[in-house]
Amino acid sequence: MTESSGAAEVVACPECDLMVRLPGIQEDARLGCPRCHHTLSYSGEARLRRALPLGVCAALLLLLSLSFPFMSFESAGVENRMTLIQASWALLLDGSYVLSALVMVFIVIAPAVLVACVLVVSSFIYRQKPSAGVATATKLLFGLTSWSMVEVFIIGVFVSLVKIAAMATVELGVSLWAYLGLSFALVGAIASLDKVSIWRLLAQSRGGAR
Amino acid sequence: MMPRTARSAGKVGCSVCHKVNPGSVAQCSQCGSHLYSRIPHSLQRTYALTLVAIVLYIPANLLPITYTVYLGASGPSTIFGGVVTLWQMGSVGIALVIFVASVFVPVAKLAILLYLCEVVRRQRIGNPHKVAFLYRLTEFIGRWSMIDVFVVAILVALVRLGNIISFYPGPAALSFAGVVIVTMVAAAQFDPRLLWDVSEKSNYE
Ligand SMILES: [Zn+2]
Ligand SMILES: [Zn+2]
Repeated sequence: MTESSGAAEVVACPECDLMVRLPGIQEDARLGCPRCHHTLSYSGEARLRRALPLGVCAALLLLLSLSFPFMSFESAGVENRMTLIQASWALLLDGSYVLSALVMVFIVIAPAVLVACVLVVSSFIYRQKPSAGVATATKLLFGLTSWSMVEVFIIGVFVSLVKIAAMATVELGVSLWAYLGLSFALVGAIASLDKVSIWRLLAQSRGGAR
Repeated sequence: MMPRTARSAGKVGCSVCHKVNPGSVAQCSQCGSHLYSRIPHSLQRTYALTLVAIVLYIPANLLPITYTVYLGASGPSTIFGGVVTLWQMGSVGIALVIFVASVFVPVAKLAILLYLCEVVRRQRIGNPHKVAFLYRLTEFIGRWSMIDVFVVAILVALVRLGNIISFYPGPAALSFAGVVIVTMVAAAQFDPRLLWDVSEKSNYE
């Protein structure tokens, strides 16, 4: 690897601006910033390759969690079921348009876009062929992470359960468990996609194509 | 010894891919992102957004977050009222979760953001590692405050049995979501490199 192929050998720490030399791309190592101790990179090929199976898992779990009832509620002989989409849709029916849209983004749209980005980026790691979408997917992936709130929603589910358990019978559906699985798969996939390594691989593959 | 930062070497670190670029270029050669040595007007933006969040926090606490209809009778409930009700029901653990997520975390986050801005504005810093820890904390904890908004969404969607029992969203739900979103953006607008610039000047290191 030489500087001419375009891949960064030195990075600037995003938290303190210190210039730090990167180790070889295949090395299994955590690179911490010596000045502010921010984790700059978790390199390693095996780690990167874990993202694709986790991404596929996440995609299947997301589809499952969108297709079945999430929870059901029964009181005085009347029953109501809720799907994941309805958690946003019901707000719309009650006139809270903005809130409905926000909830939709946080619990369905952002996670779905993240899953798609994980699939694009992690399959690039296997093929190492540059394509236009990979850079965009990488940017989107790291920019969108904190706006996907799968795990926060799950805590919300358990809080709701406690709030209404005294008033009625609440049952948990298949979708809830799929969604719980999604939260783990997505966190795992994103954690194994090391930002610095991906940008280096992208630069390398472009350099090789030239 | 002065730390060898990208800025001190006349270079710019890309905030997206972290590549070190020459100071003269406007776009990152590795990822194409717009380059800046420090986020432009970082303090002003963080201050302004924090102020907006503080203003939104007032209706979020005073107005009802849900309306409950139970056997024909209806009543509003605020965020704090919800915590008290859970406590009285005996769900002390869940009451604490909601208290931390909806009351403690947003207030702590707003206080930390103001503190970070003050440190940079006064150009005085004690231990930069401690201040950097506070910055990382705000980035990490902010989204967890959304729990109460999701509780509203779930109750409204799940508990819809007309006059027997129903939940309806209150105006505080949107204000509170606004507080969480605006503080998340405010934290993202704060450039942590400013903290280390101050610490470099105060010769702490
Ligand atoms: Zn650093
Ligand atoms: Zn870049």
